[in-house]
Amino acid sequence: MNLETVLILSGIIFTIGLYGSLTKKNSIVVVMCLELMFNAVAIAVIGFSRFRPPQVLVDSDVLSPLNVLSGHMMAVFVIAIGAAEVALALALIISIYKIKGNIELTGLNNLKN
Amino acid sequence: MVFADLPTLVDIVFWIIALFTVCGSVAIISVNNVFKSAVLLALTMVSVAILYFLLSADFIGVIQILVYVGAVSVLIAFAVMLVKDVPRSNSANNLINLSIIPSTIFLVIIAFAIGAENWITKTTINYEEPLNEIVVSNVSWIGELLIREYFISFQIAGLILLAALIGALALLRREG
Repeated sequence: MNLETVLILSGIIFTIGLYGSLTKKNSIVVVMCLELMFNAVAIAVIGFSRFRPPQVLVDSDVLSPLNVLSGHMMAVFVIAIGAAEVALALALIISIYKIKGNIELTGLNNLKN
Repeated sequence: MVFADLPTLVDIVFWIIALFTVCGSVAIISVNNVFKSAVLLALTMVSVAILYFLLSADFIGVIQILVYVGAVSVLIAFAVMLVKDVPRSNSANNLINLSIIPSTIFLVIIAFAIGAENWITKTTINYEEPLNEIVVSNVSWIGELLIREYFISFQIAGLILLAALIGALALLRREG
């Protein structure tokens, strides 16, 4: 377990989420894949926070929690934004269902013609 | 030491959990049933939380279980009610072959960027006792940082959550 393996794992999960959100027809699965991408980013920042000190820490050996835990703060905000996003996305899915009668994204081409 | 380059227990658990996470992510987009993929999303979030515990981020792991497994998965399982044909509902659109190209390009670029950088990790500097203290127990430090250095961001995150709440209510408001 070192920084490179954590970052590669994060990149693989992000790629799976990207592929799923590009190819899926069902909007609920697209929301799930967006959550996977959020989690990949959170894994990356936690890995940085665990293994790589900020440059300040390398230069001057200043050991403050602001230096060590800044990745944790980033992950907290990523999780908060992910929760807000899924609430809004499900509200959008329900309103699409009210208008169209199903929730498939391939039918949403009203602006095309 | 003869045993110096054997993998430690943390390494073995990390590889198992990493394999589990990747397999769960692949299974989310490859099963046919949307409800099964919602359950698999909850399992994948639990394994991501175990990854956070392994990376000594205990508070983030607990928050991950609370928010993702407790709230997001339940909301998504609630939205599965809107699907008409649940056992064959996870079908793909006509971009299924074309989308391999940007995904592969993205993964290759990420891998080359990670491999090209010479990462300075914490093993190159000396561990001091305060650093270990911070890394081992970080809940109180996170609370202190949230209300001191990151206070504005904390308030803005609260505002975003409030805006999402009001926006969801406004989208679903019954007309008239």
